[in-house]
Amino acid sequence: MTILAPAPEDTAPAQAPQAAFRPARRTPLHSPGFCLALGAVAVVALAAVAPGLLAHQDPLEIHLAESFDAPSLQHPFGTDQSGRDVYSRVVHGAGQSLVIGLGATAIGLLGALALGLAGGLGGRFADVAVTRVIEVLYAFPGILLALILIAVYGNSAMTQMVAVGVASMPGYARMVRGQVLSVKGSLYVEAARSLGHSPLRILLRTILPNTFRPLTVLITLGIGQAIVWAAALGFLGMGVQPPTAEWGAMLNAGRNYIQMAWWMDFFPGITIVLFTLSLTVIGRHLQRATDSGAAR
Amino acid sequence: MRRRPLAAALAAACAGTLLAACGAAGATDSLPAGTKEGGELVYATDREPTCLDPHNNGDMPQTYIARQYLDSLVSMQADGSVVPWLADSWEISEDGRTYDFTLKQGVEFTDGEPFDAEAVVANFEQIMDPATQSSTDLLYLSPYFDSAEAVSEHVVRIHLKRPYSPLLTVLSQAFFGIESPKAMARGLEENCQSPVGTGPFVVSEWKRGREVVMHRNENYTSAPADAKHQGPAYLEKVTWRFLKDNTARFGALQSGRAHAIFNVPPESVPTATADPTIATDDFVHAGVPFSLDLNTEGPALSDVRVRKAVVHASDARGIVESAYAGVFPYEGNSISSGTPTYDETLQEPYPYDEDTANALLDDAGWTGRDEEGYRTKDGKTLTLRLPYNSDPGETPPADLTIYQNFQAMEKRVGVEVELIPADAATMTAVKQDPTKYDIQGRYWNSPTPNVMYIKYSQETLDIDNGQNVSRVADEELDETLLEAAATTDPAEQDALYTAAQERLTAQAWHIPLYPIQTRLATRSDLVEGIWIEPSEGEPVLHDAYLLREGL
Repeated sequence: MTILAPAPEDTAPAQAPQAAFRPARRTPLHSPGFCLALGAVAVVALAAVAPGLLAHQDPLEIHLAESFDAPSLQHPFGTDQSGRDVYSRVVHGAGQSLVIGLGATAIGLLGALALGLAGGLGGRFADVAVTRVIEVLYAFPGILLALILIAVYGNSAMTQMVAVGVASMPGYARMVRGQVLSVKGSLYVEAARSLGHSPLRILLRTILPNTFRPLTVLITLGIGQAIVWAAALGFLGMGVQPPTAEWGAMLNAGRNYIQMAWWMDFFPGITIVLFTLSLTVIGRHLQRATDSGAAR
Repeated sequence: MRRRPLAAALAAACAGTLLAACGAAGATDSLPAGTKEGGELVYATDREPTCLDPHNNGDMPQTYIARQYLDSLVSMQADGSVVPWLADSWEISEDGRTYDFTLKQGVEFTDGEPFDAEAVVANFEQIMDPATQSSTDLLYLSPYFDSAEAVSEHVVRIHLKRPYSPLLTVLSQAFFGIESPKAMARGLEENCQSPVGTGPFVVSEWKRGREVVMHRNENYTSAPADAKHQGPAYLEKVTWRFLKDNTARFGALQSGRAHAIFNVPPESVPTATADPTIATDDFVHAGVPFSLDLNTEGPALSDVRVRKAVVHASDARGIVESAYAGVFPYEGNSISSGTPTYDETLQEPYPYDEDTANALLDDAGWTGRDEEGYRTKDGKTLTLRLPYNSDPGETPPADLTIYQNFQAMEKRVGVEVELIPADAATMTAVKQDPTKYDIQGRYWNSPTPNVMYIKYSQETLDIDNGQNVSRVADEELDETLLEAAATTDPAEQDALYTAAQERLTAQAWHIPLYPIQTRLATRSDLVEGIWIEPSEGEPVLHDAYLLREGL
């Protein structure tokens, strides 16, 4: 858990000896892996915001005579069973995936903050209750929890997002609670209290920011995780329904034709892999940056 | 050829002993050299029935299993004639309203009950009883059937309300397999789980979601006249496995974990054809092809101009050929090419024509446009709802592609098609409520062109869960089809059924797309002798035998 320890400037001396043994590190932006990852995420973000800039063909436009065409200059990723351009569908699918990934993370985080703050600040009783709730949620594997929610509330992008969000909530909540507990007992909170700041001000200005800082790493990794989960649900036929372009749903449709049209699965698949890999690289990088920042 | 008591006794004696020992002892001279009786056949199929008793509901997966453990009164031939099965002979009265069946003697149900005229009467009574929740059987019978009576121990008489020339072919289907009265008396639930017949196999166990296990009926004496051999089946055990996933099912055949699969997914056909150990047997079903039924009670589709426009705009041939990768042919007539009296001049009545579609829609008053470019009339958008079953394995991937293709094609002429994924329970509700859909993808396999009466007559409009999903109520069509059912003259039948096909086509009540096909694939190096009977495309395992033990 050390990587998630609070890292405000005033506690830095405590960790200084550790930093002495750490090898000198290149500054973040010079690492080529990090740059590539950042670039990949930027491209996906661009695809999500303005897909028309990257792909000129309509992702829903069918060309019956051109179904199952192999990748070519005209269709760099080939065409699918209706003759739709797979490249356009991958580009347009970015928006769906990103919205679901970000939305789910936001939902998970909001729920986690409420739970974690209640547990960390609400006294013994609240803490016991919150811990139990988290444990119950933890008892279900995330994807199963998401499946249950979709089974109850039906298939749509919205339920897919909420389902993935709720499924990711316990992980965040446990982290927030631990963080709040440790920040609450820190010297600078003590100092703020003795300066006569109101509890609300202490919560908003001191506890929340210091709780959040280590969470940024987790969030970056979490978005990637949420996108993979959303794709998994799409692959299982839950969530976004055809003909909407969504990476997981595209994988599912392509699976049936994998012996005759490998490109239908390969390109959405590799996109999911590269994108989540990029997010992970960035997350790890931020993590190291936070650590060394704390050490400075 | 009669049953060989010696072979049967040997097989029974060996039932509990090692298969290897049994195989040698039970070998029959009718099997090719080097092959032997016994063994287990694994048959993997796509859909699991909700009930094994085919009288209840009556969906295709039920008939496929029922054929293995039930016998029918008669057996249909490819040319539409019938040969004896449980009935040795039959006589039809002059007015076509009384059928006397003389039954085979000495037959027993596998629960020990005797098969006689009373048993057949009990079957008809169970089918007509609302508690059985028959759907398919009622649609075939209730417009015509009056009563059944046991004239003597082995003669059963069926009285009809009006003549019904397709009756014998109808009764040949496993939907009308004869079950044990004692078993049926246990009630629907138990009979669904373990129905009992006189057939070549006995249902031993149904592990839901996994498989149905059947064992050989050692006393089988009632094979149909067209069976490849009489007497008990060669196979000792049949495992009827449910593998919904297309890729997994085909993989099971390739790896030899299944001896035979049904259906071969269209996308795997090229691979299957190229594999020398896989033999495929294709059967084109007679009946109504897979079609998009247009609900004529809807505000837009009640106008024949809109229906014709929708058909013209759909590029029906194109969407089928793309989705089924050319493996399934396009069929534009209201009945499939394998159906008697099929009129080939109606094969493609509404070729793809965007201009005609637009003109028809303009003419029908759908001239406005909303902000998305869809047509409007009096402020209402031309939206057609197409619900489909989104439960795993229920809608084949290629059909889902067809729906998407159809949606995209209609958009080009400003018609919005809304695809609505729904689970099985919702779909049942949708079928019963015509206000909940505008279009549904449906088919109806049947050996007789009279199937048009089932799908489109006023009389069947409200029998069960509405197979007449187009909600057609047309006097002219009804009269034509009833007249066809009343005549036994082939030329007259031909003229009347042709008139019915023309009427259906002219009214564009549905968009026919492709004929339903049974694509059976077997490992030709492992098993031999499975054949497909022609009434419902049921696979027959009675004559099948394994070429070698183990996989």
